[in-house]
Amino acid sequence: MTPSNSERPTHAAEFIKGDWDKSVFLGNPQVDNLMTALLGLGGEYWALQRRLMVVEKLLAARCGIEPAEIESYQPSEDDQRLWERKRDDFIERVFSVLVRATDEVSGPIDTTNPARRPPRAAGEPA
Amino acid sequence: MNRITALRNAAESEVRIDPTRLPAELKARHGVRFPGLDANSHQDFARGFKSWLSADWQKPEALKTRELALTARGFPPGATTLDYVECFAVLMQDPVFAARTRLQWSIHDFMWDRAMRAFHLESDAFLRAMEETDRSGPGTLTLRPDIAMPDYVRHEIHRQPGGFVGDPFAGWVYHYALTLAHYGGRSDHDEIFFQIAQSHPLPADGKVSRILDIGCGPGQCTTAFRQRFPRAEVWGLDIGGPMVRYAHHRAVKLGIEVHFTQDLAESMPFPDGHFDLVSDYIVFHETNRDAMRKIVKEVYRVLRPGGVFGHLDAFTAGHPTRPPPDDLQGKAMLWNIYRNNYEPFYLDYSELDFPSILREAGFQVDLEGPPVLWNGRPRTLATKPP
Repeated sequence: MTPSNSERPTHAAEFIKGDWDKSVFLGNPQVDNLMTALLGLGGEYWALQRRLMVVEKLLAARCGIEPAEIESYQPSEDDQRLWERKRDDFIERVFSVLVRATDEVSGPIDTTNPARRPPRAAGEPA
Repeated sequence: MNRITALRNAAESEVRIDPTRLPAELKARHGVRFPGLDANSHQDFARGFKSWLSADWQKPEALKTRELALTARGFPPGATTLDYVECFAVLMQDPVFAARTRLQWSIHDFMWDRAMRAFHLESDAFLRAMEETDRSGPGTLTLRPDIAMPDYVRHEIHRQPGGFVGDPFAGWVYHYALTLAHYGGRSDHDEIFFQIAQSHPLPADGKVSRILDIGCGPGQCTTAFRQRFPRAEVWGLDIGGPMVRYAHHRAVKLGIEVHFTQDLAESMPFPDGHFDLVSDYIVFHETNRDAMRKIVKEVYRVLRPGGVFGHLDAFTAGHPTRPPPDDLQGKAMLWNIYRNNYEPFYLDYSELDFPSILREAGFQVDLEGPPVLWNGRPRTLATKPP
């Protein structure tokens, strides 16, 4: 629990600590921890991205900014929609690999697969 | 408790609010935001990540892939005799499911942790803010520091550190994290709670002068009821001191006159037949079997003849059309919720015949009451016979 910086009454009661924070889903606790740390890193990265977006917006609007302005910045509805789209793209980009479909690939390489044509550039004739 | 004169027909003085089209003024008042930008961004990340995980899980091709993989391993669709643990273990053999499960609970922990840090790092300021509203109105707050608390209320439900009773900011954390992250944009301005209050059926005579919200948590339903019935006396009851304390603080800041009391729902400080409506939202599955029965009896006691109890929760074994799942994936998901979302009584609740418990207490039961829009889940209505 994060330590508090107050001596004021809290009206909190004794609670029963659960074991939910000890669970291992991937066979090796360090792999679980790595996943959790990676996810935390994603959260910090996103916080930085979001902060930068705020700064960019404010810089676009005026030349100098106060820190308090950054803390209180409220995006417009259009901005929020755009930011949410960026967030979702970011999450998909970085984390979709974690749930990728996998298969046994230890056997011989199948050389009978048809060749895949590289994607055509825009305007390139078929 | 007797300050409000009983109304002849409160339904006539209702304020109808469309939760899908909240006025800008209500949106501005009911939205929440951490003081610092990073704390909001952390919850925004959790919101996006949870939404992505959930959407990925429900994609038709993902469902088909899981079904084919399970069939290939000898587990075709349909009812299974495997128990909950075995069902979950079968799914966990799939590395994608295992990874997804890890991510599901890591992002959930991230959500709670970052919200808690935001409040604890400024704990003196937030505690002072609650102290300032503890004794001010509108509305009242009753704290019972010496109340005897059974063990079942002391668990860290939903993996929330400290649970509902053990962290000074349990109410703030629960409200902010669920609103900004977990509900995924479905209740940024309390839309879910406006929906619950606005769609709650009335007694046959239409008279509503007193309303009780049991297990009220941060009090979002409580205030929404008062907003629908501005002349009614509305109470929120919860065993968590930090919960009702925050609920009162929030209501004072909103300028909504409601009353909160720290009490157990199995022994409420109200006279017999006191309320016209009693409501609960996802409360019973967090209580143990003994408490569930006592709470139902107590709700019956405090309702007046003809009064209506609106119950919104998971479906239980006694539901004729929506019994708990008996297939492998469904049972595995139930186990995942129970064990990994740390809801120690979820399976108990799911397996018991809750409608029969309501009937045994004397209620007339309707299992197809108005649903809440966001999940389409019908509400169970229990009416005390006139």
